[in-house]
Amino acid sequence: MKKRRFYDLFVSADCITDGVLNYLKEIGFSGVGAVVSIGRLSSSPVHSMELIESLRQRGLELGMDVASRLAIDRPLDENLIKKILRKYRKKFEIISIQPLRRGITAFACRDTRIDILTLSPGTKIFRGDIDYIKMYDKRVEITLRLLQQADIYGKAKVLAYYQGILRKLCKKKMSAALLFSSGAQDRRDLRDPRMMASMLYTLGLDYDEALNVISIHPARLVNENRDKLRGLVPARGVKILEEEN
Amino acid sequence: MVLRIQDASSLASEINNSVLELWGVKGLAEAMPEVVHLDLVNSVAILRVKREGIHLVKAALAAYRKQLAVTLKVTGSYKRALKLAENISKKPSF
Repeated sequence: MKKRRFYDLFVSADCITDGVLNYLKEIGFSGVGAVVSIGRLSSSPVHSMELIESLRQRGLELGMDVASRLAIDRPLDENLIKKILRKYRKKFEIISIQPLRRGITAFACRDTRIDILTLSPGTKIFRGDIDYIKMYDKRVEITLRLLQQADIYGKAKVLAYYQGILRKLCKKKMSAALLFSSGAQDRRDLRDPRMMASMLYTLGLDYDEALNVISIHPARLVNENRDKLRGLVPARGVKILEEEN
Repeated sequence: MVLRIQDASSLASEINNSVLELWGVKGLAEAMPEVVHLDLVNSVAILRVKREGIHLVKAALAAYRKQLAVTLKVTGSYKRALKLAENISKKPSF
């Protein structure tokens, strides 16, 4: 039986060390998304890019697939976000946004350069947004860290919100668009993939589908985006197949 | 469940707290987690959990603010879990 390859697509690049990569491998992950926040990138762009590259190399040596990811996690103006996307789309394998205003949520669902919408309680998603997410093959991400940080009432709020999101996605048969990451800013935020799958199971997803959310869905996104960056996808729905040698 | 424990201090009460915090008294009743074997030297523990509560416990451990343990294996037999724990103990830890 083929072994599942689990991916945690949201781990802060600043906390990723050799120890963390080894730990992720030990607990069952095959790949990680090294996240640089937009604040860090703006203040030190060269250092951020170098960090990502060094993590990728180190990951290769240790047998972990490190994907580069930019997280737009600040309340920015739409024009500024467009500027950022123009500048950095081809430099990062994944770009995500954490929409904090309704207008930005709508924009993020429409813009094809954004891969992932990271949701938190307070971010409203409407039917039209879900239609755009389906049309443009985007992903919707929820993170474990919000649950870890919150007090009891906070946890209840987050759980209720996540259940609502899952219900909306499952209603439209879009569970393939769901991603679940740790959102780790520190090694202590990391959890093993089957524990994370159990969390999704308790939120109402089938266990096998929950395992897919942490394995097949993120792997597919990373591979698709790598193909796009290599120029193998000239238009949506078209892929250039490489010649077999 | 065979666990690699990160923090052994008051493990049993912390696990109970994690389940209580997320799932309440009803959840704790459905899971009834109990530490039945603890190897502090090799940081391995065996947790007995009711079958219907296994996902509740794993989800509770995932959502808990402290990193208590990593699930190494889930098995239905205590004897097999003990054997696994002994084999894991012989391997170097990370």
